[in-house]
Amino acid sequence: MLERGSAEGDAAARPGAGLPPESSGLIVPGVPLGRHRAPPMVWQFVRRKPMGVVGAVIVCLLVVVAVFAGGIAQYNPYQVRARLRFQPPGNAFWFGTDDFGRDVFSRVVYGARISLQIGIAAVFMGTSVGALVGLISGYFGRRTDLVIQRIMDAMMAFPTLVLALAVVAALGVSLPKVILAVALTLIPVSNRVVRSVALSVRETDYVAAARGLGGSEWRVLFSHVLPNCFAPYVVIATANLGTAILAEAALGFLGLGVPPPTPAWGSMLSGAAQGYLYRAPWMAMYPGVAITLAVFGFNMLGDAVRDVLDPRLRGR
Amino acid sequence: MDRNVESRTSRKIGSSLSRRELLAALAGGGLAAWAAAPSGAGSRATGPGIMAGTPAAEAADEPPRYGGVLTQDTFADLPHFDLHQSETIAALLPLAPCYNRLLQYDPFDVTKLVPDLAERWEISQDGKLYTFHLRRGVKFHHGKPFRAEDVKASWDRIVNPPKGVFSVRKLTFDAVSGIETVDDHTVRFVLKRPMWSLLANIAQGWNVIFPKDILDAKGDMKKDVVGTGPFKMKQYVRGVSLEVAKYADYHIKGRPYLDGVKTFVIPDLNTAVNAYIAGQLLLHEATTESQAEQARQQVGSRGVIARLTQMSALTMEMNASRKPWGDPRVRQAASMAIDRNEAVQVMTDGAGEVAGMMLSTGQWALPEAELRKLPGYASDKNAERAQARRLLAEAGFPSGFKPAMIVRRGQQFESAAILLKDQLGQIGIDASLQILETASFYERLAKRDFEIYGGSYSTAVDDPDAIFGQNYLCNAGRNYSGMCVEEVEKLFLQQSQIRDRGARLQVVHQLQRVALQQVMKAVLGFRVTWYLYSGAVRNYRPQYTRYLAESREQVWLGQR
Amino acid sequence: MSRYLLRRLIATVPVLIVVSLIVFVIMRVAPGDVAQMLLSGESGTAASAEEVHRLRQQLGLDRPYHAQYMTFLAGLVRLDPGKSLWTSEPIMLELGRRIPVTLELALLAVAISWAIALPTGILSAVFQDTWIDYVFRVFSVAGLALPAFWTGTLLLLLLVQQLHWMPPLGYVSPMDNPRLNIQQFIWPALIIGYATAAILSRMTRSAVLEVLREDYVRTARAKGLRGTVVVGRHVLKNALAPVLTVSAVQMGNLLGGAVISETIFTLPGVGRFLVDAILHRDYPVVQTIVILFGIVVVALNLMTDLLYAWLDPRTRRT
Repeated sequence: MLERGSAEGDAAARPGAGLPPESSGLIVPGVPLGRHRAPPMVWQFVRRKPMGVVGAVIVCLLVVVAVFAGGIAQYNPYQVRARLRFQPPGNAFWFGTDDFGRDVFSRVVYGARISLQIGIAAVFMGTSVGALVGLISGYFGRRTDLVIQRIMDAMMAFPTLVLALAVVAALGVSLPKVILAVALTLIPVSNRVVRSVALSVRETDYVAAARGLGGSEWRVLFSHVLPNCFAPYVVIATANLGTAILAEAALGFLGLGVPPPTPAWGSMLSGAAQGYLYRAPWMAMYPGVAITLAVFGFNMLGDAVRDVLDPRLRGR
Repeated sequence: MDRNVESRTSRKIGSSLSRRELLAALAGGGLAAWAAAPSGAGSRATGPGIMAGTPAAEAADEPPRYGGVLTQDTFADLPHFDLHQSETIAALLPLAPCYNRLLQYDPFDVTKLVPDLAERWEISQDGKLYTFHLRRGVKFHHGKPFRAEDVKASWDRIVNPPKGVFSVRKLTFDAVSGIETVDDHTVRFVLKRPMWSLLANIAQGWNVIFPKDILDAKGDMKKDVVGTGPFKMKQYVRGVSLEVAKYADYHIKGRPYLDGVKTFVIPDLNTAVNAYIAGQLLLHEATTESQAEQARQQVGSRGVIARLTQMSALTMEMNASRKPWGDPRVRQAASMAIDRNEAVQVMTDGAGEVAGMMLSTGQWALPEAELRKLPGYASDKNAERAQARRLLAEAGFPSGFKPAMIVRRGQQFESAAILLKDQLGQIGIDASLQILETASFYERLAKRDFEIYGGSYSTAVDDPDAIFGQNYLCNAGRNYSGMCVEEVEKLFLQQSQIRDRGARLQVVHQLQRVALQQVMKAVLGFRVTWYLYSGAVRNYRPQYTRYLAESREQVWLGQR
Repeated sequence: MSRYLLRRLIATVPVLIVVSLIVFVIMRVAPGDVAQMLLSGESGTAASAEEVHRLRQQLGLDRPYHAQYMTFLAGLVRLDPGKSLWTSEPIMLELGRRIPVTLELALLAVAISWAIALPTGILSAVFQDTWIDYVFRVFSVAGLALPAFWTGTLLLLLLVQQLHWMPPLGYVSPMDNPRLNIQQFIWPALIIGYATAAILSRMTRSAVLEVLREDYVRTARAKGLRGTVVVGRHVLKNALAPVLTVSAVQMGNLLGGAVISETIFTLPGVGRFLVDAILHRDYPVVQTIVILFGIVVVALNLMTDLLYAWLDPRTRRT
């Protein structure tokens, strides 16, 4: 199921979103705009956010596995061994082998790389485009805002799964298309959040002054409004990573994910793994655990990052 | 195993063996087949392999009981009810109980043809005239009496469909020039040339008899289910189930035994097997050994598992109109690269049969010794692959090349693609896979816009006319290579007109040799499937195909 | 207020038009042809070009695109989107059968998600940073992280293996047999409900936390009001608004979850109808369902915004 993640969902739906400046999330009365307090020290973070640490550890582990997949995996993940199919987990094959005799552990390890690639690429594209759209829409307001937001509403009105399905059906199934499909589903939400920030920032005296001084609108946009959006962007991006990984899994389950024989966690959960669930449950179990762990880690980390960057909750 | 038992019990046209005689005839060779569990790829076991559970129910001599509803399933919903315009088991399985054909296959042994709506028939000396004498006292479900005009109306549209009707099997009956009604209970088929497999093809499950009045009024049977069969339509809930109920005025007194048949639509294969284990389905066709194993462990002796080689071949198609696949050396090399034993091992859970075009366990199959001489079937794979590489070099590709393989979305097709890619890679052909969703895939296929793909074909009957007619002839609907081989056309026509089975067999063997040598398709092997059914289901015997005899007329439910 | 409502209502029309255009274009761009598929069946026997063309004519697919689009829009306005290309049955008829299924699933799922999320969220906030908090947070993130199709398949496997029981096949309306109906729906609703509860629980938690920090709450506590009273009277009232918002937003995801659950638990709902239609390139069905869904989402968004406008008049400027 394609969920819209956690932190950015909170942020978007929070009473502050869409409401006037005074109650907006990131403007603290008395603190000059454009200059945030520096984030607290790392050790403070550890002490106060143990869940965040767990998340960070998981994410680091994931990154390490993805980057050093070649060294960590024991075998070639594509190697077909017709006579060693369905080996249960053991000494030779730590997570067993699948219906082609391929080593499941190696495939899960390389799958981390694919999942992270998809996650990072899709999140970067989707969140950035959404943020840009939201920025422009919120700052310039009026008719631009009206038009853009209606289009965004239209995109949000699509069930995410259907949008991804339609895109993949129309364009074909391949790694870049999957990234595109997932990215598209991430645009509307980051648009919303950044737009609300842009809206509130626009109303402040500081920015009004900057505009009055005669600078071009775009310069004001980029030098004064943009920096304030950095924090929410990071929060949304971190949380979206979990969403992106889940999205790839759902698409893979429907058979529209990364095409075989590339190991991707979502596709590894569908097809053969489903058919052989009884005989070789390890085929579905390990990728499933990997997905759950990854999404869990990103969400915990995202929570902690939001807590840290969002001064309203800093009193904890 | 002794395939020849079945060929010795020659086709008895116009009569049928009783169950006991049948069992006795098969017992000699049959037991050996049952006892010998197929030991993996390449073995040629025959006969229904009962993997687990109580032995086939019809062996017991209980009197049949009346009552009960048989529950079964398909994986998809059907778009409409018109069987003449349909190709999918999702349509045939739920609707077959509602209809009769002119002839039918004996549900206990589909190598035998027995009467259905035609009581008896005669074939002229020259084989160009078939006269069928029809049963009397048969009524359609809506009350109209069955007459020769209904046969003519139904068969006219199969052989010569009017505009707007797409008769899927039209080409199979190319030899038929027309159908005449002699009187209310006699019908004649007039042929342009002899076609000795005519009866076998007429009896296919699809060729049902529709009522003339509805055909005249509506033009098709897409929205109506009205036949003469043992069951009539009760309720259809789209996407959920199709239920048929006992037809009280069925022309065979005392039949059917069941109160009804209900076919559920279950797209998820785990859900289906679970439904069988939980007792909600009495009959299910499982496609992986894992599911069969799950059933065996959880249902135990209360259910039967019959493992059967199916009339469904796995192939690799090469589009000969695209470079370099037009060069026979390239095609041969590609075929030689594939280790069919491994292919069958992987794609059918070690339970398939390596074969040429005809059913490996059937009467037309090339003997193994012969098969081994053809490209792709040699025993020494390494030597064959080396030879393949040489062939490729000769054809101008000393270091291989990189074709594109289109793949239809779906687990079985993707598995085939992965395997083929791996095997072709062994001789330097590095295929890139393009996964296409079903609709896109068919579009590419229809336009012949592809290089290679891993596919499958199945025919209802293990008959050369059907298999070659639908797949290998020049204008055959499923001739994806686009190749027209004169020798194949010639041999096809020749064997179709030979009456003597022995002589025909020789020509059919030669036909296969030519087609395999030319590598019109690289045939990998035949699939195996597992039929799971409750011990309560009696008088049911799974066959090598589900497209022939699924009317459930003779099935009854007893105690488990 | 009514002017605001009117403006918003008018604004929804272009949104729906954009939605309809997007889906129209995407479906037409996708390769594949329903006429081809109808004729070819599952074995892909090539139908002659002439036959395909004739069927396309019959189905009205050879008309120019703008004409097709206009016909469709006109049909929508008349509340008669026409017939399915695949089955030739009226779409409204089939929808009429399927909507109650998905609706029931969605409502049950939402009810379950509230039943899980509200208590866990509130308790998690009230006992913040204690082990209760951690347990509930892990529980809810697990709901987020576990793919619904995985849990669905595993649940079914478990039921069959341990209890030798499976939810009855087919669909029974709650009117005909409520007991059987609940047996069919409770499991998929639980799966979807748990996943949706995850976000909701976290939302509840942060909303409650925020309110707890508000001055007036601290004042109330300082004044000596008991904790539960404080929580009950002030917190719940104010935390409810964001919770409702998130619920509304999640309706979108419910359909995605419904698609998968409907497949695994064989329920004939709108989700499966839509997916099958996409795969068959059944344009009218896809367009109709997406528009319908768009209307639902837009309506829910509108309701939520109205709720805010009512609560805080300042929003009406935006």
